[in-house]
Amino acid sequence: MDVVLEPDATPLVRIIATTLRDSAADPDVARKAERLRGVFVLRSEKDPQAVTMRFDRGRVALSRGVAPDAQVVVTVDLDNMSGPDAAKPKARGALRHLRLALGVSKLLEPKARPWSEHAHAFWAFAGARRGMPERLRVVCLDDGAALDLGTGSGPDANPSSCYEVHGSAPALVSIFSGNSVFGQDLLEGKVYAIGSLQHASVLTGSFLEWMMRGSA
Amino acid sequence: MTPDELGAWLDENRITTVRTEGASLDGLVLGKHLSRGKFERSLPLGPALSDLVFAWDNGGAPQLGWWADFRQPALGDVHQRPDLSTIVVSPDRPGMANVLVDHTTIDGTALPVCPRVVLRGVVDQLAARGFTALSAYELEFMLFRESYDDARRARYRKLTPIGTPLPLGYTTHNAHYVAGFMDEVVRRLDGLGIAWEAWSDEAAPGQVELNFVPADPLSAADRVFRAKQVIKEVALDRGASATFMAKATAEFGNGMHIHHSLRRDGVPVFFDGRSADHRSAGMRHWIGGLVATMPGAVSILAPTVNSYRRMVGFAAAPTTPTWGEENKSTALRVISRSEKLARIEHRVASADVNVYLALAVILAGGLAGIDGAIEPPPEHDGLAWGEPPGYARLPSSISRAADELEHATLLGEVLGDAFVDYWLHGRRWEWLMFHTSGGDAEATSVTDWELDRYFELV
Repeated sequence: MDVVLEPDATPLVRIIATTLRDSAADPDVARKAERLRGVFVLRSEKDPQAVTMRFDRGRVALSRGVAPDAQVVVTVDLDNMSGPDAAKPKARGALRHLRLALGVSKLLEPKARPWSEHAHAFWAFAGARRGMPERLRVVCLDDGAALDLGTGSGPDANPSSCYEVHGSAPALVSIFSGNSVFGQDLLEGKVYAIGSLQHASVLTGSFLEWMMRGSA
Repeated sequence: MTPDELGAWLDENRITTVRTEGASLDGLVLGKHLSRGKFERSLPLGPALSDLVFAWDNGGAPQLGWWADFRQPALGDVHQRPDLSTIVVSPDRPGMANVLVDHTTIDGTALPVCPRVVLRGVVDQLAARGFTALSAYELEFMLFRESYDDARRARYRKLTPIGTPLPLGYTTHNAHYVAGFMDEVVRRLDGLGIAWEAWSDEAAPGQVELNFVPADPLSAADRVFRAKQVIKEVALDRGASATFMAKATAEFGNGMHIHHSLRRDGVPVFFDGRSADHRSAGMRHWIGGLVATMPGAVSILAPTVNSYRRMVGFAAAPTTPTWGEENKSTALRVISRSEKLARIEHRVASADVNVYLALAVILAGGLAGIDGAIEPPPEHDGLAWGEPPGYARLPSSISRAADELEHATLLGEVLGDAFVDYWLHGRRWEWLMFHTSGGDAEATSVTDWELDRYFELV
């Protein structure tokens, strides 16, 4: 599927572009997406953020705002679209354009994968960035499982260059899949961390780039 | 003033309190009120502030996403090293002195992101080539009858400009509305030793322009930095409000035109009486550098989301990377009719700019032009607004301007990559905050988000 962004795209447009490209990496999903036609809007229930998606036989054009010719408009809490306590989205036009509504919804909710898979993918993207910790230790509070990413995990490890992220499996999936912003989740107590402010800050920047990486 | 002379000066002026004043990246005045004893004991490093002052935004949120070596891994301090040559008696608060500062690390190393340090660095690079610059700012702002508290309660909407609602400028009738306010402003400027030349009412209701006497770059920027604070304090003291937002209302925006010229061994560089147009090779190359670096420089000259609302055609602000002789629609108004007047008026900056960084990026662009002998594009001798698509335009948003600056290697070489990198992250953070904390990306006029964030602070 060809994903085309508006010039000077907004953060939400970039995030949705990333999600669509991730979903379309699955050949089965991509094949179905290529048959989609119509105008689908996703908008925030809290603020003016919105993105219009124009599907036309294998191409989707993304732009900010709510297009007047939108066939389906879905209003969601962008901060909690898929969590267990996520509010049910409000949809307009979905019944009349059922195929479009279901097809795009499927694209916007990529198949769930274990948090460790998402974490590996994130680290492959961001691990070498300037200012990142040499080692990232991820601990799942549900079962105690731990994952060490990067170098420096042996006896010679430099403790000042290690950073730990702890959270429930859903919370870890949320940040490592790019559904939420690490720094915000840390401040709100959704995940926990051990390490320096430097690493928290740089990691947050890397997570933001991870969320919007599909805009390139 | 030397440190040895300080005690006698404090005695002589009966100073009991010293207020330090340093610039944040967004141009806010940062400082502490110190007892005389504490101030003297703090020297030479000066008082400490949390290093978060260089890592929080105008909305009070900590900026996350990047790092710089001057910061400490678990929250630390920076120092405000007083520049004792700038200490003055406060003209409105008996017993208090004000002093400008440079920000340093805890070991006294100059902070690469301190705006005053950045400007000083560019001035030093000019000096290393034998150049000195003269600069003068034109500062525009708007005055409203409501106090800041009342304006805030009204969400900065439907305020009452001080003056007539007529979109005219230079009328003494209109100016008289603000005469009392401005009399107090200039009284305080005189008390601070800030040389001003003129003030007048401007085209938007409640808008005033204040002009300063040309000075060396650091002194010129210091004066405007202090003057903005004076204007806000007079507004606070008189129960009114002032804003330097680039576009606070639907009327004309607030610009900050920066005039500058160059000398070498006391001789004006820009003028050549033997050439037909009176422009020297040095001036041509300076213009060439300014134009070549302008798209990236816009990031610093238009630092807020709101800055770009001013940059539309036929609204007195430039929209193209152009220059022209006596042309006020181009980004650079070149004046070369006589040796005495030869100068360039850089018209891109808005009044919400950081005055130190604005001048730094302008001088950096010119210096790059001299170093690289960059020839300018042809002079733009018509109106530089309303041209059809295909003409080069200045960046039209904070994100586009950041993208331009990221690739502006000529500016990075002069301003320092550490500063440019830190600045870029800050602008992209501002872009992110606008879109994700309530700003309306489709709005074609000033939003509540911008008014809440910028009206009182920038």
